[in-house]
Order: sequence, then structure tokens, then C-alpha cells
Amino acid sequence: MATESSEGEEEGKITGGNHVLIVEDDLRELGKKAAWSVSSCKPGNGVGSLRDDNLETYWQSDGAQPHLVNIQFQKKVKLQLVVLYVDFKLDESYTPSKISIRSGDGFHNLKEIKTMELIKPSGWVYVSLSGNDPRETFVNTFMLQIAVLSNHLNGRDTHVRQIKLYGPRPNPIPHQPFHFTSREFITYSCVR
Amino acid sequence: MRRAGGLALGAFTQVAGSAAATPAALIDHAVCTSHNNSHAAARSLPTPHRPLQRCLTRARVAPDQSTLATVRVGVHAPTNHPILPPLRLRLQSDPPCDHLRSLGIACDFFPPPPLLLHLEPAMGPSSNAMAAQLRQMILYHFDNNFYDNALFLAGRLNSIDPRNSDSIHLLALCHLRLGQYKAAYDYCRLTALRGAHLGCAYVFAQACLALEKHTEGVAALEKSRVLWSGKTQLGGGRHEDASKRFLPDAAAVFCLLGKLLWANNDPKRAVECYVEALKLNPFMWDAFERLCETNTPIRASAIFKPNPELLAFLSTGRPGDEFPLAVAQPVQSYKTSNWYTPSNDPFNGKIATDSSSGLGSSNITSKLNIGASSIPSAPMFSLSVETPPSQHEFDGPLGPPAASSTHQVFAMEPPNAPVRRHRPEPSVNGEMAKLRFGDRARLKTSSSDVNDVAEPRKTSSQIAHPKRTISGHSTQSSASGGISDPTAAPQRRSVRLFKKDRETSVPAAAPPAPMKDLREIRKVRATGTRGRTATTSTVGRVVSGNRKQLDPGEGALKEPRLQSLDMDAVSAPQRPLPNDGSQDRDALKELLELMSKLAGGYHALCRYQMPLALQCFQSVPTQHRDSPWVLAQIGKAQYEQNNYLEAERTFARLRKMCPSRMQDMEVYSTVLWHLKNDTELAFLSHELVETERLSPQAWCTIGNSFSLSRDHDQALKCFKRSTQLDPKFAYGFTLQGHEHVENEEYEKALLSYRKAIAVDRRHYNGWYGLGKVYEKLGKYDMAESHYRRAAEINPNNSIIRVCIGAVLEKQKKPLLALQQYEKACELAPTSAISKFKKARVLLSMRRIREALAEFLDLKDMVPDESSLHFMLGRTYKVLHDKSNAIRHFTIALNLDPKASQYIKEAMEDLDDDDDQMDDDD
Repeated sequence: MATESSEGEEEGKITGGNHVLIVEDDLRELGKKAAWSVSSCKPGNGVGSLRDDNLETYWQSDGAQPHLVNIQFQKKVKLQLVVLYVDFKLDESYTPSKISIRSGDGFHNLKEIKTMELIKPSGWVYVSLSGNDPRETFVNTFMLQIAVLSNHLNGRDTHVRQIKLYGPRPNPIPHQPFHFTSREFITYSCVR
Repeated sequence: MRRAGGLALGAFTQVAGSAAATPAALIDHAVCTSHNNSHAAARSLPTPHRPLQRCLTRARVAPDQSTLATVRVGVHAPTNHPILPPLRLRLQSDPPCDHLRSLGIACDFFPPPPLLLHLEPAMGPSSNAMAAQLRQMILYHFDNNFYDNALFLAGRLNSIDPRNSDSIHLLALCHLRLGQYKAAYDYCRLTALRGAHLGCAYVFAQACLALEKHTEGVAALEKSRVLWSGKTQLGGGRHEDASKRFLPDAAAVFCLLGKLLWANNDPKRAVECYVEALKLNPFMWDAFERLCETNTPIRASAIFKPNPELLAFLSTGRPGDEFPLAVAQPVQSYKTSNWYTPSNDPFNGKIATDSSSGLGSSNITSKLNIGASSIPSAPMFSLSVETPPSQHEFDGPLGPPAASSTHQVFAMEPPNAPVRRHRPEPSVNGEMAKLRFGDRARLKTSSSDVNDVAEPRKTSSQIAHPKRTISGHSTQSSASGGISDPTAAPQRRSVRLFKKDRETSVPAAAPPAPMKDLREIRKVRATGTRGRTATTSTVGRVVSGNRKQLDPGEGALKEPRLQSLDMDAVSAPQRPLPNDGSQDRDALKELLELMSKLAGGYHALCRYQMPLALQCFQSVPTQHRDSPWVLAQIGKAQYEQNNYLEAERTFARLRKMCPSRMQDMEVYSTVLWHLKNDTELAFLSHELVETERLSPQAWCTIGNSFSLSRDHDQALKCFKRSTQLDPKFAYGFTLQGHEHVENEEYEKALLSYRKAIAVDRRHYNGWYGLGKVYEKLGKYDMAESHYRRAAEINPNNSIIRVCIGAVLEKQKKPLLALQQYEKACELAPTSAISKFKKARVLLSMRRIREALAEFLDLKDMVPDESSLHFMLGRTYKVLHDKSNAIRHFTIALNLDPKASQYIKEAMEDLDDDDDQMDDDD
């Protein structure tokens, strides 16, 4: 099974959002390694708008709900955090209100790992993929799917301006679960 | 004046072609200048040619019998300006001589010149002279670093005589200096491949090196081997700023050949070439550096014995061979000289006076050298046995021979306009040299010292010969009674003075290995001297001793130093000092000692023997130790020892001292990276990029800065830029590899590391990177072999040992791993990580007590390492010391909450006895 985090649904609600993207230091962006696709889009507001680091542009779906964003990796990656930029003030009825995050080996065995309700969000919205157990800090998967199940004000199509995916940084020392914590060890553990 | 439009030669076509350059204007101009009003003259001649504006003082008009007139503007420099050779404007007009005469201007009548340049290709005497003047102008521009001007003029020269190798050489040289390698390559290709002209071959080979057409370069040099194999310019060559030479000597060619061969994947022969270059001229630091990079075992300490060339350079006389060369020279030089005949040379008078005044001798010496260098080896050497008499010929009349030889020299080699230039400058030069030289002796006896240095050189020339004999006698009187042979004297004296040095020095003097015949000849010569002089036995011994020691001579002097020495000599007034030699020799000895220390340090650095390198660098006198170069080397050595804190301090000092130094700054940036000093690193990158935006080091520093702030994509871009700027910058590729690893792009990382290794096979960081990638990919055997390659290159790096140990552990060879860790601990007793790894492997081998001792030891060194406490917890667990185990697990948990999953697991299993030690890594 691809998803190691076998947690069931967990209802969460998020209001507001951050205007500045702040991510912990030991996480890194992984979305750039993935192939991104969407279930539908309006011409000019395609999947590229999700990843262009531009908050002015957005992806706009053009079809029936749920609207899907599929993120496929060439190899299994550890994912810990999904960050979306949505803005109710600009997009109003296009703003997603309920999203679901699914993971799996491919389209055939996607499993929901998280659902989240957004209440008039504006800015960066963080969706952590970690479970409660420390052993489930991250999801190890080939594919992630972000589904927009419904929009605010019963809107049909949706706008999402950016999506970022984060996973833990690999340890510079191969095959060691620990990161060194002391300066001494960190500084003198590698040749550069 | 029939026509208003004038026609001028070469560069001055524009001048004459412009409306203002009518004969009338010229005459006006001449009038102005005749009154020594050069400003007015310049105004009247609206030429863009600035030297002209600055230098016009006199005009002569030389009409011919036909309708052509040559207006010759004799250009004389104002006293503070370097000489601008006369430039000649030729007008199609009637001779305005009468008019000029009436104005009181001297008119020279020239024999009818054939025709104008571009009109007729035949090389008449005047076009010869024109070419010579053009040549002067080119050299003038070379001297002033106006390579664009020089290039333009060289183009003119080349069109005057397109088939002349000399003009091709100059043209190609211009392109080469402008960095237009392809053009240089194209221009001199034919000539060079014919092997007929050494200059062309050399320029061609340099262009080939830049264009990476190594085979052709090697071919060209090999083909012209006859021209350079015996040459050496060190001994008598004055490399003062007034006499630039554009023909290389054997050492230079060997050095270049070595580079080409090295690039052409022929390391063995390349090393041979470097060795030869160093033997001929131990000041070939470049060759020495490259030799170090080839990892050839060199006895650095043995390098710095004064070799015969050096002795000649310094000592009163040059042993034997110079004289025959000098004798042979005239022939040679005349052969090669197309350009200068005394009558054509505008500087004739000048030079003659110079030489008679005593300063000229330096010119002469340079000439001599040139002549010598051009001489093919064997026949000359046979002459050498009979040197003394021939030399005496020269001895007699000081003035005339000097003058004539000057001409020869000029003919031989591109003539140098600023012959006189050094005259006004002596004091300045001397000052500079003194400042640059830290040598104690030098500082002590500044003025006399300078003289001394000058002295030996002068003596090496024939003109100065009487002096030499005098000095030689005085120093030597005790050693040898009646020495009829002046050549023998200096040699003997040097022998006596430098007993220690003698062996290496003399052998080094022996011609490079490939030229067996030369060496034999030399032997013959030596025996010849022996017959003549009392000290024969010594000489003989020396020779044999030499041969024993012939193996890699190693020399290291920095070029600038050499130059400054030269400048000293040049500037110094020449007067015979009876004791001249000894002080020079002391200075030289000291210099060589210094260089040998630096070379030893550099060599050790290249072989990653850091303690030795540091020791060498620390042992040099303070003023040298505090020089940027030495500081950089020390910093590198400290960095390689993983002593980042010290290295940072050293580099910071270096930065303060020499903020514009770009070399080795990438090492500094890496030091800062290791120390996670992001502010300093960012600051450094800004400064460097401001200093030199196009240097790979600056971009590496920026990349490191980004890498430290974990912007690996950005870092990657910077590192890529660094290798774009310099594709030979191996470290840039390695850093790219590291960033790819950070991005988990292992294929790309491998490629980058391989590129780094392709550039520099001894770049151990690249091998290490490959090992790391393979380790991450789980290919432990591959990882091990790559790590071992890295360790082979840099055997003293503890981190690499630790890595080898880690992959050995992975391969279930704990015993071997333990050996590696122990070795690592040995190499770096303070390295916590090697100790940690060692303790861990001990634990996995169930040598629990030992492991515990190590861990406890470590705990004091590094109290805030969570994995250490974790391992301690485990150790106590195995020892069934539950409370201690829990204690340390808890500490570990506090130190690293992110690893809680593992730690909690371990704590939960506390009661289970079985315990998988290795599953966690």
C-alpha cells in the first residue's frame, strides 16, 4: 500500500491564511519534481498557473465537481505539508471551501488521507499531512490528489492560485534516521 | 607640390588622407615643431594619433629625385616620454625643401625610394625601413598595452610583407594578447607547422592550448625543437621593462609543451617537460605548480639549488657556453634580420651613445642572450672549448662592438623602441624592487646591493668582461693562482662558495634530458676547462655529481620576483665591485631558500600533507608569511585539515590585506559554509561579485551562500555560471554535484562529479561526491571504491575514512570498518564524528565496554548531540542499566524532538532483550 498514513478522515477547519509563506527549515519543496495535472481548466488559467510562483494568476476549473489536481512523482516521496494560496476576497464564489487530499500509487488506488474545510480563507493555507503518531509524520507516496469538493457560496468552478508541497529534507548522512543536532557533528560530517 | 592629397604609410594613412595633411599643413606643422612648439604642432595636424600629438618635435623633409617626396617626421620624445620611433609620412608632392630650408628646418635627402607601399610589393630598402618602423611602433604599443593599436599596425606590417615570418609572428602575437586565440591560430598556423619560426610556433602553441587543439600545438613545438632546445635566456637575459622579448627560450617552451602534453593526456611526457623547464629555469613557478598537480613525487627541498643558469644570472661570469654563443651570434642574427641595418635604424646614434655610456651594456647583454638563444646547440658548443680567445676579441674595444651587437640583437628579435627608457627610471625601479623583495640582505645594503645584482649580469656580457675577470680574480685569488681562462674562474668560485649547491646546480645547468648530445658537449667543455685550469678536478666532479642528481629539479620562484631582480640590475649603475658576487649569491641563496620553502609547502599542500605544508609555510620569514599568496595557502591547508575556524581567521586576514584577490576565495566561501556563517558569506559574495563579476570564484561564493540558505536551485544556477565562466573550474562542478544531491537528483549529481573529475583527476571532492551518491543509492561497493579513490588522493582526510567505514559497515564488514574509523581517529584526534562511528561499530560488535567508554568520552566533547545520547541509551540498555538508558533517551528526545519516533520506539522496547543494533542505519 502506498500510503503509510492510514488515518481516516479527519475533519479540520481553517480560517484566514498567511500572507507570507513560512515553512520550517527542515522541509523542502517537492512539487517541482512532480508531474502536475488538473481535471479541467479554462484556457489561459491552466495547471501552469498553480506553479508559476505568481499570486496574480490562478487555475480555474471548467467542469463538474469535484475539481482535481493530480500530483504524480516518479518515485516515492515523503510528503509532510501541502500549502495552498487561495483568496476569498478576490475569488469569492470561486474560493474552495472543502478540499480532500488523497494519496496512492496511482489513480487506481487513491485513498483519502485528509479533508479540510476552508472558511473564507485569504492567503497561504497549510494542510499538514502528519498523523498523530510520531511514526506518521509524513506520507510516503507516489501520488497525491487534491480535490476541491465544494466552493464558497455554492460556486461551481474554483480558483486556486498556488499549491506547494513539502517533504522532510533528506539527511546529509545517508541511511541514518537522525539528523545531527550538534554543531560539532554537523560541521565535520561531510566534505564539500 | 603637385597634389594636395598626401599618402601616408601604414597607420598614418588617415592622417595623411585627411584634408589637413596636405603638404602645406605638414610644413606648417614642421615649422611649429621646429620651434619646439609641439602643442602647436599637434594642433596643426589633426590626427587621431595621440603619440604623434604628444611627441612631435622635429620634421625633416626628404624628397627624392622623382615626384615623390618623403616627409619624415622625426619624432622625439619629450624628456619624460618614452621614445616614439620616427614615423614617416610620404607625400606625393614636390620636395618643399627649399621652403623648409628657408624656414631654418633641416632637410635630409634620401635616395629615391622605389614606390609607395601599397602600390608596389617589392621590398625596397625603404619599405624595409618602413617595416622596421612599423615594428617599432608595434613594440611601442605592446609596451604600453595598447594591443588594439598594435594589432592594427601589425596588420599593416603584415601587408607590407605577408610572407615574412616575423611579421606574421607579431600579428599573431597581437591577437593572442587580445585573447583572440582563433585568429592567432589561423595566422601563424602555416608558419608554425613548418617549424621555421620559433615565435610563430610558440604563439601557435599557446593559441592551441587555449583552443584545446593540443596535438597540433605539440606538433608545432616539436617541429621547431631545433630552434629552442638549446636556448636559455635566464643567464644573461635582461628582462627589464625596456627589453621585451617576444621569442621564448627553452624553459618557456618546455613549460608550454608540458601544458599541451598534459592536456593531451600524455602526463608522462608532460612531467618530463615540466622538469626540463624547471631545470633550465627554476623560477618557472607555473611549471612547478603543474608538476605538483601531476602528483609527481618531487623532492621539494632539492629544487632550490642555484643551477648554472642562475649562477650565471648572478655570478660574475657565465660558465663557458656563453662565449661561444656570443661569438656565433653575429652570423645568426644577421641571418634572421631583415629589418635592421644600421643605416635604417633611427636609433642608431642613440644606441651607440648609450652603450658607450655604460648603460648600453645591459642592452648588449640582452642581445647576447638572444643571439645565444638562437644558436643551435651542437656546433656552437664545439666552439666553446676555444672560447677564451674569441672572447678577448670582444673584450678589447668597449664601445664599437657593443653598438654593433646591439644592432644584431635588434635584428634578431623584435627591436625595442624604448631602449633608453630605463635610464630615467633607475631609482624608482630600485625602490620598487627593494620593496617587493623582503630579503634581508637586500634591505640591509640597499644601494650597494642593487649594484651587486647588476654587476653579475653585466659581467656576463662580453663587454663587461674585464670587470668580471677582475672580480673573479679577487674573490678567487686564493683558490687558483694564474687563471688565464676567464670562464673557468667564475665557475670555480661558485663551486667554492656553494659547495652544497654545486651538485644540483651544475647538473641542472646541463641541457634537458632529451638532448643528449648537448649534455655530451657540455661534458667536453668541462673537460676542456679542466685542462686549462687548476681546479679541473672540482669541475669534473661537479659535472658527474650533477648527472647523479639530474632527476626532477624543481624550482619555484615567482615571476614577479624575478622581474624585480632584473629591474634592480638594470637600474643600477654599473661599476665593478670586487666583492660583487658574494652578496648576490647570498641574496640568491636566501631567495632560493625562501622559494624552496614555499615550493615545499605548496607541494605538500598538493599532496595533502597538511602538517608538512603548514610547517613549510610557517617557516618562511614573516614578511612573506603575511603575503596574500602564502596566507591563502595556509588557509587552504587549514581548511583541508578540517580546521575551519583557523582557516576562517586566516582567510579573513587575507581579505583584509588583499580584498581584490579572487583566487582561493571559493575555499573561503566553503569554509564559511561549513561554519554556517551566513552573514559573512553573503557579505563576501557581494564583495567578490563587485570586485570581479566574471570570476568563477565569485559565483561559487554566491552559490555557497544560496546553498547555506537552502535555496538549492538558485545555488545550482550560480555554480553553473561559475563553470560557464571557466570550464576548467573543477570545484564548480563538484558544488553543482552537491546541490543536485540536495535536490535528490542523483543522476545529475553523478554527471557533475564526473565532469569535475574529468577536469582534474586529483580533485578528491569529486570522487568523494561520487562515493556519496552511490552510498545513497545503496551501491556500497561502488561507493567504497570511489571513496577509496578520494582517500588515495587525500590520504589524510578523516571524513573520507569515516565514509569508507560507513560503507564497509553496510557491507557487513565491521572489522574493516573499525580499522577505518581508528585510522580516522588517528588522523584527526579531535574529530568527534570518527570517534562516534567507532564507538557505534564497537557496540554493534558487542564490545560494549569499549563502546561505552568512547561514548562517555564523547559526551564531554559534544554534550548536545542527540544521536550520541541515543546511542548511550542503547548502550546502557544492552548493559541492562535501565535508569541510565532512560535518562539518555530522554536527553536525546529533548535535543531532537523530530526523532521522537525512533527514540520512543527504543524506549518502548527497553524491556526486550534482543536488540537490533544496526537496523537504524
